[in-house]
Amino acid sequence: MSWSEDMPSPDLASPASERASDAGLFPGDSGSLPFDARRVLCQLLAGPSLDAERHALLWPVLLREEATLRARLCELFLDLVLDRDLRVAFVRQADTGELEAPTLLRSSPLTFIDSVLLLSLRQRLAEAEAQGQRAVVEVDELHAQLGVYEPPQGTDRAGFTKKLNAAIEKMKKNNVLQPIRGSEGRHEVSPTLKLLFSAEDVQALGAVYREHLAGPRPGDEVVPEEDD
Amino acid sequence: MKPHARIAAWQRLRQQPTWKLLAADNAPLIAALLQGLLLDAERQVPASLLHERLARELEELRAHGHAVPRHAQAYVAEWLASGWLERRFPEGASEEQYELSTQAIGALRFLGSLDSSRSVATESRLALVIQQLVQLARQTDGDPHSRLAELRAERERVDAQIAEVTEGRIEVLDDTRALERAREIIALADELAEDFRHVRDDFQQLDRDFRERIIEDERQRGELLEALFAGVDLIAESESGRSFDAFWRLLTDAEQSGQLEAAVDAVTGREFAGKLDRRERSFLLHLTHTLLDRGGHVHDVLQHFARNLKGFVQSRAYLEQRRLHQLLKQTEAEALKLRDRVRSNEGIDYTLVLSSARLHSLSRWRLNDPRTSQVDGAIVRAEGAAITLENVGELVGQSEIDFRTLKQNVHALLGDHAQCSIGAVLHHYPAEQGLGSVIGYVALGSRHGMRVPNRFEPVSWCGEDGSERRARIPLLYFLKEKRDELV
Repeated sequence: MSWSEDMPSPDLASPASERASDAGLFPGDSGSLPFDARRVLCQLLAGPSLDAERHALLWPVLLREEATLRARLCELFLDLVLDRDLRVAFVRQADTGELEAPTLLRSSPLTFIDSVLLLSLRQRLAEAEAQGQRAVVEVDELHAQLGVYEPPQGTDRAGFTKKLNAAIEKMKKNNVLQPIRGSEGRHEVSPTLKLLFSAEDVQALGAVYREHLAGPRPGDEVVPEEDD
Repeated sequence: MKPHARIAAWQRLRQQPTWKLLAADNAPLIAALLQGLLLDAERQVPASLLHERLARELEELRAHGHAVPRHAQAYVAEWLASGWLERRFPEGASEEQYELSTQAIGALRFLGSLDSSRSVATESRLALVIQQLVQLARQTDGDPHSRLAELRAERERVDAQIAEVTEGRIEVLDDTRALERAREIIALADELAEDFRHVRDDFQQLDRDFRERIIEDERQRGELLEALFAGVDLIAESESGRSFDAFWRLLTDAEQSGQLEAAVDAVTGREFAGKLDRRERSFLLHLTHTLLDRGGHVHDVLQHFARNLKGFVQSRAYLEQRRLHQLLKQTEAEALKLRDRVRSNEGIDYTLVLSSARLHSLSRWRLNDPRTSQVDGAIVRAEGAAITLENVGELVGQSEIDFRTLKQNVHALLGDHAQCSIGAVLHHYPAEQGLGSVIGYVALGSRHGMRVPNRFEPVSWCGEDGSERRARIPLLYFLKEKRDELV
């Protein structure tokens, strides 16, 4: 039926939804968002966040298209968190209640040392916030601070140091810690940690600790590497 | 003050960064570096840039025989710990920034004043004091009679002056005194610009205090909040805030700043101003700009603090923060109890949910094409490096070449030959000074020989390490008729 392809197709034959695709951004494009809005969507999905400083061009688009973007994210069971004061936005799993929705976001199971490091970073962020400053930590300082969590009878100092370094690396990989250019060994605690690890989350972690304290668990398994 | 009280006070001050800098073993070196890096030009420098610049300075100092054994980073860290540097991480910046602390600036100023040949008891300074006192007396005088009398006297003085000028008698300040006054004004204005630092430090301290009091002190919080909610801007109402505000209003007042600009223009246009040095002139010319710039920075900081602090209180963030504070402490205590029971790399039933998605589509797989990672392993023997005549000029300037021997060699060779190229000379007399010999011949050839345009010849010589070296040099011939020039 190739003969008809050169013929101008009558308007009646193409419904409105298809006509939109005539103006698509690429062959076969059936989306309806403008280019910029799609870039925002991609940045949000790729994560970890979209912030006004680093994404100066996308930030105003996000504010303008907020409602549409929210709708698109909801279709993926995701919830848009937008903090206008911190000037940062990111996605998190929507609270779907009874509904068993698939999880698109990555998660990172924590080891004991990861969790105490996280607590310490959250603490630093809170202090810095109280002083109206950005939160900066030094690797040496973290080692000194978290040394208290080394078992008192422990003789493997080097092992503990190594594990803590691994935990720090994990936080870097997850963008909780960001190296500061030009200042070796110093990192900024990402302000988004405030939203990723809220007071409720701290409380939940406390509950986990109490469970561990209540009953000795026989299983000593080491957590597998994070699922990415 | 009794001596023992004074001693205690000085002892306290001696622990402060200002005195510590002055008393440091290598104070001249530190002061010079600090001044050069962070006072003379830019006052806020990103970390990497500061390290780089300092490293360069240190390198140069070493070349001049100064003992500076440590790395730039180590010095910066030490200066930071001594309280001479401050490190900030401003909003939006990608790097931490360094600047001098107020105390370090104080020490540098003091050192500068020691060096300055200007006498302190100048006529202009005295005149300034008298003028200020008279003005103060007037402004604090509440008696309308004496006020009127004073204004009339002033009018009489002005009238007398008008009369004199009308008759053509104009008294102009002589150059020496004009110069002295100009320098006095520059010094005053410079100090003024420096005072902004104090104001900003004060604001920062105040802001911190308020925040701490809000979070920690249950009793005072009521009053503070009341004041804040009533819309009273506590920082702006503080002493520093008020005096800065008055200053700022004066500076941004169109009439006043217009006067200032006009006066600066007039003064820098006068003949005597030609005797000011370049720095002084440029300071005067940019006076308004400098004041606005530095004052503007303080102004922004003040606005930022006031806004943030209000937001902090109004958003009730402090309540949340108190709760978080307690929760964190409590949870950390629980973690401490666990340290004997849980291995540090043991998993606990807690998962941090991240904010990036996991998209692992099959379409992301790419077939590996081994050709893309193949490297061409063939080795091509490189041509000798090219040495141009310009290069030679530079190299000759930098090195010590034994031209006498080289000239002797060429002279001797021209005894038997009508002409010879540098390659031929090197064939008869191996390059004893290595590259130096080659360069020396090229230098001699360009002066006493004949150059064949756009032609080159390959030469080789043996380096000190015994391996052969090659270069492509311009083709030059030494000629017998010019043999005598080489004596």
